[in-house]
Order: sequence, then structure tokens, then C-alpha cells
Amino acid sequence: MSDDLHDIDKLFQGAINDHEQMPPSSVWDGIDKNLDKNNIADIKRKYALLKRIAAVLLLLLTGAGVYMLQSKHTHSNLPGNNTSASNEKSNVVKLPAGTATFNETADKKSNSSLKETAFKNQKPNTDNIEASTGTLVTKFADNKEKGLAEVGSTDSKSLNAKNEKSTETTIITKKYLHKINKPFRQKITITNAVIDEIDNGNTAVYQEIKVDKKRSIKEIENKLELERITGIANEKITTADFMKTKALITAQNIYSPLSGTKTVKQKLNFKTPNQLAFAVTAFFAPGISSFRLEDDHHERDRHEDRDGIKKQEQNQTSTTAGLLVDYNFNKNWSLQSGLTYTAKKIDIDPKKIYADLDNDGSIKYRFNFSSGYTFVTPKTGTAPSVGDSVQTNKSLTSLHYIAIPLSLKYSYSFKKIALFGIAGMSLNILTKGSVATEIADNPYTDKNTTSSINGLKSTYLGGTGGIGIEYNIGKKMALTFMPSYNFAISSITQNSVVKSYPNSLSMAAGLRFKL
Amino acid sequence: MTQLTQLIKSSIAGDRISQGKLYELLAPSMFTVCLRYSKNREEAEDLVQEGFIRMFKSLQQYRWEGSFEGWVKKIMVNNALQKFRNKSQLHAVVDIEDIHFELTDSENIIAQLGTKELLKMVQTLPPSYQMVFNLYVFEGMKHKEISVLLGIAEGTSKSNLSGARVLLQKAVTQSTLVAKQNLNCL
Repeated sequence: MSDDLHDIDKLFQGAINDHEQMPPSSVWDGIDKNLDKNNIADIKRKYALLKRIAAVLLLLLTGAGVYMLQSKHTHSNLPGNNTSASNEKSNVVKLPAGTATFNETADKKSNSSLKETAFKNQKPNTDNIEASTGTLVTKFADNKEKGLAEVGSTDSKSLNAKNEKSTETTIITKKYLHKINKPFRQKITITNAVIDEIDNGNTAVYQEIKVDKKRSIKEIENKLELERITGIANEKITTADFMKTKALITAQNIYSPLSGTKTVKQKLNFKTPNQLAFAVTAFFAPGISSFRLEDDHHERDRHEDRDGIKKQEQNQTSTTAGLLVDYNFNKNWSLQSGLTYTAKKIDIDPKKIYADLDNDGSIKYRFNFSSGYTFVTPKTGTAPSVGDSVQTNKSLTSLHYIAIPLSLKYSYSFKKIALFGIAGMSLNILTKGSVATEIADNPYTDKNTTSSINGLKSTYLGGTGGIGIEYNIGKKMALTFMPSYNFAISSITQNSVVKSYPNSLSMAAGLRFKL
Repeated sequence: MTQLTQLIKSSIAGDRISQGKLYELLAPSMFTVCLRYSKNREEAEDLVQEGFIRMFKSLQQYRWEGSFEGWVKKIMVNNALQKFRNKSQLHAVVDIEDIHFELTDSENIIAQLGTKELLKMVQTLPPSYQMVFNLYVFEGMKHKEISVLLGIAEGTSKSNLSGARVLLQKAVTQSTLVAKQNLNCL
């Protein structure tokens, strides 16, 4: 009995182990349908995520723009910066923490704003400067020397008797100071340096500089350092022609009574009025678009191919609008990003479409086009069988994308005109895709509109290149025109009859605001 | 790169054509596995469908170790076990004497006591016997492993296997007898 029982094991093993039997086709249909559901759910999740990212980016961009405008406005109210923007006579130097920061100006307006925004100390001494934590703005005046007398004369309170030095010290917050000391972005050269002893053991070093395109900031800093060291001896201020000065830098010479040594601490932190770090461009760009099509070998259709589809979709238009933000590295080079919205419309000529199984296993007419495919069911008449065909009227595909571009821009300007070239990439996110078609054979000509295009990817990578011209219509505003060529690097379709790479030629017109 | 490897990679990437081909390659053998763990063909179809969906969803987790078919088979078996576990039928008590087999095929039984009929016999076993018999005979598991997997005592596993063998022996005998009688009638 026991042997028989073990034979049973072998009998079943031998007979069943190698047995193979194909399940009915309905099993695969069920699997296929289920996997599609998952894909749709994934795409919906992706869409939701991408929409959130786009909203956050838009908020950030708006926030950054508002902040920069506000910052610029506040900055322009600061002492010295009014003159900096108007006649380029002032400058700000930030000293390392533990020393002081000085602001020198030759303008009355800046003095008045200084009074409004700051606390004044008419007669500061070494102690109160050293006690500060790098948040002092000090205004010097010396009526002994010609040039500085002009400075001093702008504020009568700061001037006392002849040959007497007076100093006006202002305390500002670190946050405020940070706004003043924006990164230096223009090449300058030093034309003169003067030194003045303003108090016992304290010497103010005045260095006169002007714009020079040939020098790098490092060279300027080195130059400043060198002149400070070599020229720190008991030289007296000779002259300082403020009208010709592009910028004036001051620094503090700290004398240590214990060691008997003098040290000068200075860091150049300069913001020129002409070279602004950020600019925002609002633009509108109508264009003509087309597609580069490739056959998708995984999804061959016996009725349609690349050439047929291309022939049917000749008339295409695109419209783009958006906001772009430029970040200037220097006078010529800048990085550009932002948010754009593009709407594409593609006319599809009348064509014959064939019935096939849809994703749910139902038989419907399959409508293939460059952006994917959809299934169409006539609202009247009998249900089609696989292989049946009908004629469609003219159809229209609409695709809507938002894009985040990232481009490198080179500008060359002379007088009011600037020429520029741009090249970059963009991430394009599908926000809506729809196709409207109608069946010609149907006496009621029901219009079938669907927003569910199958085989259309939610994102694709694009590239862009163009040249343009800018015309300055003010210090902060410019008109811009740019013809550009945009193209897809990755296909916008998958699991469709064709792989589709859209491209467009557009002419952008916009307004550029320098922040 | 072998064709199977290519198909797996493309299937992971979501290529439906490759997924279809992978299904076509594995479905015949996996359907037999599901037939062994089910009560009828319809149930087996459900099992194989669920198993493949599960497989495609977890395909990224395949570690490229061992046989791919073995990995898929494991998914099918686990899916079937989960299904039966949910039904709580593993501890059913069966009176062997009361078992009646429906022998549908009467053609040349000795020669024709083939796969389909044997599969039918396995399907007709009480679920608790069917699971243990399948795991022991076809999956090559030990009673200890089966007891852990099914949450039953090792003794129960042995007892269920023994019961399954007796029932199958009886079914084969009866089937053979009927076949012989039918032959004699001719």
C-alpha cells in the first residue's frame, strides 16, 4: 500500500509537471486592462505632483520677484545709494565683523535719508566703533581738505570749526546691511587713493575707483590691498574729485596701542548701478510648429504609418507666453529660467479609421494621430466589428504644456541696443491634451471629443535656441524681440503608432524689467 | 543578452508588447500550476490572471538570481495559498469513505488516464489535502516548511498528505475500473 501511495506521487508528478496549457485570451485581456489602469493612476498621480511643483515654482518666482523689487526699493532709500543710482558718487565697504562698515557720500539726499533711517552719533570715538559688531555705517567729513570739504558741506551738522574733523556714525541692522552689500558685479580700477587721520590712531583710507572693463574683481581686490599697505604711511589727503569719481571706497585703519601696530581691514563690496543681477521678461510668442515622426516598431498598425500621419497633419500652430528670469553672471553672460505656457493646435485631414479592440476589450474605431491615439464610438448605428472602417471629417488636436526652461544667454550691448543669443533645455509638462473628431458616415455627424489621448506622455524634454535684440526704453525697461527654434529631445508619445518629436519656430516679443 | 532577459527588462520599463510576450512564454506552465491549486478551470483562470498582475507589478523586485520561471511560479503558488488561506479551508475534516469522484472521461482509461483527468483528481481533493499534496509533491517542500507556510502542525501536514494520497489512489483505481468496464461493454 505504501509503495502504491508513493507511486501515486510519481504518477501525478510525471503527468502534470511537464503539462502545459494556454489559458484563454480573456486572461491576458484582464491583465492588460489592469496594467492600463495602473498606468492611468500613475499618470494621474504624476500630473498632480507636477501641477503642485509648477504651482510652487510659480509662487517662488513671484515671491522672489516681489522680494527683489522690495529690496531694490529699500536699497534705493539707503544713504549713498540714491547717489549711487543717480550720479555714481557713493560706495559701500563692508568691514569684517568686529570692525566697522563705513558709508561715504557726497549727496544731500542721502544724508537726509540717513537721518531718517539711522541713529546718529555726532562724535564717535574709537571705542564706540570697535564696540560695534560690523553693523555701523559711518559718514566722514573733513573740512580741511578740498575734496572732502565738499562732502562735509553737504551736512552742516557734521562740520565744526576749520581743521576739525567730524564723524557721523549710524547704526543699522545686519539685515539692512546685507541688502546694501550685494555682490560686486562690475570690473573697476583704482585711479587714486588717499589717506586721512581722523582720530587718535584711526585713519580713514579713501580710494577712488572707476569702471574698467579690463580688470577682474580679484585684481581689484589685490590692488586695493597693495595700495592700502604701501600707502598707509602718514600721508595726508590731497584731493578727491568726487565729480569724476565712479566710486569711493573707505576703510578703517585700526591702531592697537598695546602692540603699536596698525592694521587695515577692508573688504570690497560694491554694487554698481548699471549692472543689475536680475531681470524679468514677460513675453508672448506665436509660432508655426511641425513634428518629426518615427515609426514605433513595437506598436505597428497595419493601416497607418509615419508617412500617412505626417501627410494628414500639415497645419499646425503654437502659441507660447510666459515669464523668464535672467540672472546675470557678468555684463555678457546670464542664466535664464522661468515658467512658460504653450498651446499647440494641430489640424488633421479627413481619414479612414478602423475598428479594433480598445483597452477595455470593447470594439471601437481607433483614431491614430501624431500625438497618440484614441477610440471613437458612433453614437448611433450598430456596434462595429474588428476591421470595419469609417471616414472621419477634419479633426483637431489641442495640446497644452507648461515648461520650465533653463538657458544660457550671451548679450552684447552698445548704447540702447543689445544683441543676444540663447541656448538651453526645458522640461515640458502636459497639462491637457484633447482631440475633437467626427465620423463622416454618420448621418447625425456626432462630434466625438475626448481628452483622454492614449500614448501621450505626461512630460518630455525639449531644447531651444535663438537670437534676439533688445531696445532699452529706460534704465530699467527694455523691449525684446527674439525668433527662436524649439525642438523636442525626447518623444512626446509612447506605445503609439509613431514616436513624435514636435518642433516650432516662433517669434517672441516681450518686455524686460531689470530688478 | 538572452531573449528572456531582454523581455524582462523591457517589461520592467513598461513595454506592453514585451509584457505580452513574457506572458505568452510563461502562461502555459503557470496555468497548470494554478489548475493544481484551484477547484476548477474558472478559478484557475482567475488565479493565473491575478498572479501575472502581481508578477508584473513586482517585476522590479526580481533580483536576477536563480530561475525566472521559478520566481514567477513562487508568486503563483503564494497567490493561490493566500486565496485559500482567506477561505480558511485548510483544516477541513474529510471522511475518506464519503468521497466520490466524478469521472467524466471514459476513453481508453489506462492510456487516457492522462494529465487532464489527473489534474481533475487533484482539484477534487479537499482544499487542506490539495494544498499539502501540491506543496509536498510538486514544490518539493518538507512537512516542516509546509506547516510554517500554512500555519498548521507538522503532524497535520503529514496526515493531510497521507489522506490526499489515499483519496487519489482510490480515484485512480475507480477511474481505471470504470474505464475497463467501458472497454468490456464495447
